[in-house]
Amino acid sequence: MANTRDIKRRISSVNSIGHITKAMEMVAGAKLRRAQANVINSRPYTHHLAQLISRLQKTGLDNSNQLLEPGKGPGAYIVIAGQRGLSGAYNANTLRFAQGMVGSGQVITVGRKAKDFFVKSGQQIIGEYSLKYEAPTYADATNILKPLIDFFRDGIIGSLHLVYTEFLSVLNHRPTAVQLLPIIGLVDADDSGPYIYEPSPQEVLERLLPRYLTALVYQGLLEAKASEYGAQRTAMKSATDNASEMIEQLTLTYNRARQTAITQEILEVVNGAQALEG
Amino acid sequence: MVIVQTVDGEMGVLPGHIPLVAPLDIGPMRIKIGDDERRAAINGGFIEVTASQVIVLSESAEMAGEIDIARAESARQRALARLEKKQADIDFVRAQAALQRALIRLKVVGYEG
Repeated sequence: MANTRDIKRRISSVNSIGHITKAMEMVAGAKLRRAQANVINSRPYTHHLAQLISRLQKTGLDNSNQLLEPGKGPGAYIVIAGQRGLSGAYNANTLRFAQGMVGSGQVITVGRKAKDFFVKSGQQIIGEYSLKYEAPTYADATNILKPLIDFFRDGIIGSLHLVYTEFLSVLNHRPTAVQLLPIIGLVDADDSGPYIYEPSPQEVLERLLPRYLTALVYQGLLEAKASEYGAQRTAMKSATDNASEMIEQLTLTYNRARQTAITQEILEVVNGAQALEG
Repeated sequence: MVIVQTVDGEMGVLPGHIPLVAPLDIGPMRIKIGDDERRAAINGGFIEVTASQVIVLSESAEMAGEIDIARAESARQRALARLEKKQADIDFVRAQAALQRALIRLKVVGYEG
């Protein structure tokens, strides 16, 4: 049986680890609430833009636009993962899913973990971004997307997908992929009669499409961030739980060891006394 | 009544307006309900008018009460300083847009710099 001093030292080290993970859990929880609000607030905007576009397409007017036509060239994938670890299986799940999607395509990484992963697997990386801030901004989405839209227009890439983790609930996140270019799969528009498009339907569409793509990427960034914080909180919570369980076990062992030592001492005293008498 | 700044100029929408979609410029928006008037700074986007509602889709929009005057003022100064330097064209375009946004914000809160 281990000696009592060693056990005591372990208890105090596990205890302080528990304090740290508990603090990290609280921090992740606070960030999660903000990120969650961002995700939910941003959804109607994206949805509405999609509705506008599909309504425009239904008008039967001249709606040809290069961004709607299949392109020539290799496919490219924007992969969003975390900036750091300590978030359970979040990065591993997202990146394993992404690897399956990407195949031999080109990759644009967002987040350090995504970059490290694809550098290691030898994938061709044509762009890398890191998310330094807690809340991704609209400008981040614009920066990522702008060169890629040009690549698509110039025929350098033939299609563009976005791979990220969808935030379903605090405990439930799912890696997903959406096709950005050429633009497909828009929501069905409600049939609310004819609209006037100022100055022309063509120009409205021209302005709508890039904004819609940016909104999708922005939404993806927000969802990924919320999922990351969710995973982080869950991971830290289970670490904290494990620590308290371990402390319980160790305390039990400690008490037993102490009891044994006391019993041992009493036996020695009694034996010594008997030896003197005899 | 809603008054917005479209890319073609100022547009007012009264109840019963025909359904319409138009792109917006960086500009102020005014919402008049009776004698009450509310203002907002709109950073581009779209306006959609339907039979029963007006929807403004914008990358960012602030009601007059949400605008931080000090921040808008310092953004204006920064943009002006950048415009004076006249670097590459892309910076020029961005600085101009930033200046425009700052001016609109200040205008919406009725602040004369």
